[in-house]
Amino acid sequence: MRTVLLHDLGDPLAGAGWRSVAPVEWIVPDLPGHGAAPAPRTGHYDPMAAVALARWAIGEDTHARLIGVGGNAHSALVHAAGGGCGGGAVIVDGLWGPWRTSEEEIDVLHATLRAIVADPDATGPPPMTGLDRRTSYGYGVMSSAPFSQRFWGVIHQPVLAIETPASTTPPREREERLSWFAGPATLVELSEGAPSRVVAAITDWHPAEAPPG
Amino acid sequence: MHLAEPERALLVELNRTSLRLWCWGDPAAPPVLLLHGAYDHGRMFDDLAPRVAALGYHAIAVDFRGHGDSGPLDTGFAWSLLHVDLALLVRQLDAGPVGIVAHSFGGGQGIGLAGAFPELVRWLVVIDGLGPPPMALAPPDDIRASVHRAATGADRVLFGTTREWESVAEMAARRGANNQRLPDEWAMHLAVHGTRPGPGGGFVWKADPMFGLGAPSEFNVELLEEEQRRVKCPVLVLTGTEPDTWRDLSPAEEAERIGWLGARHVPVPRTGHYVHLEDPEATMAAVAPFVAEVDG
Repeated sequence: MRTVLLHDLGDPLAGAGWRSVAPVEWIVPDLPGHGAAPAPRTGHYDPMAAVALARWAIGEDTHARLIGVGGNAHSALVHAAGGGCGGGAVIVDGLWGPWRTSEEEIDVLHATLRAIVADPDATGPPPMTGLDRRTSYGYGVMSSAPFSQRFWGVIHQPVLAIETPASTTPPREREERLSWFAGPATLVELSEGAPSRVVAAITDWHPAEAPPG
Repeated sequence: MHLAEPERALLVELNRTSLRLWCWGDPAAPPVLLLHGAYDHGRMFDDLAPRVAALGYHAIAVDFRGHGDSGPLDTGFAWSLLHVDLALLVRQLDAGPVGIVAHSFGGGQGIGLAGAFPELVRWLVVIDGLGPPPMALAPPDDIRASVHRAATGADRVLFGTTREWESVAEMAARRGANNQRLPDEWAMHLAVHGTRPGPGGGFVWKADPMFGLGAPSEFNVELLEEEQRRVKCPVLVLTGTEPDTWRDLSPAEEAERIGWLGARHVPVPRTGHYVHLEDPEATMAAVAPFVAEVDG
């Protein structure tokens, strides 16, 4: 069973921070715009690019496990929603934060767009290696409770949700959000978010075979 | 139909891509951007742009990223990315806030730009571009199939080949079949300027097939309303009166969105989605007094 880990968008350590503690058989790429991987040609970031990379790394392994950290938790769930991740999906701090009102959501969108336009490093030529500053502005994906319920509701594969102290999901809402997955979902809350602790939680996870979805 | 070539064609570098601009009128005059719809390109304004320039403006029709002669897309999740392209373009023009005439998807871009960057937009004309109907904004019924389609579509674009057509005439016919009110000569014009030779000796669409293949993300009517309410500049909305492809808002939905924008509304009789192509005279008869009033 292949295991692929997608590090967070904007992670200054790229995959290296995970490769140093992950089992050697895990595939932990530097995503474009991080570490040794050049930025995308036109320097824009989309979860589907991470999904495409994961699909390529997973190949024909229908029992693969995909781990998505932070912003790429959504990428892992996109792949699972499309029928991938037969061996389960792991999301690290991927249950979204407090839900925003429409007004707050547009406030955030506009503030982000204005910050990008004001930042020459985010719109100038991207670096060939190292962290691309554009990644610090996130994917810009929006969610809501109804959207997540619908989207996660088609995921029958086992899901492990690891919440670290960096999570913005209100603790009292975590169990309820897990109930939105169609398949078995497990919550692990860590008191420390070091990659070694996260990796240990994942290697300790042995979900039952996913029900047919 | 005889259309003059644009007076100038420019390629500007910004936001890690190049944007093709088709220009008419005095470059020192106040700029007006003309924004096309999804899968179209700036040459759709070959008739309207000179008319706008004749009002005393520097009319600049843009090929959006992933369209026409502009740079390609890496991904399909491009809605906000195009706002950034436009904001940087207006800043690069360095001629103060611009007027915008925008069709369909371009209307949404104009609205997004005017809301996020009010200091960059002086006025906005939206031609049948008030956004999709509520049903189209809801998550798809079959999310799994939709995600699978997007993922395999991206694989095809990244690792496969693009469909080639035998002739531009065949592509124009396809375009005409999709948009039955589009006059034949316009379907041909859009195909001539919206295609290029393919590697196999045929022709391919210039529009990037990656466009529209983004990851699932929430966008609902409440967010659309909030976005449209943020627009504070004067807005004129033109709509057709006839049923047409992509004219899918009910009259009540249309009126509601015009209210969110605080816009004035001119229905243009005997036109469908392509108001400005079907009746450029009536379009200008609405646009000219609007901009004269705003710009003085």
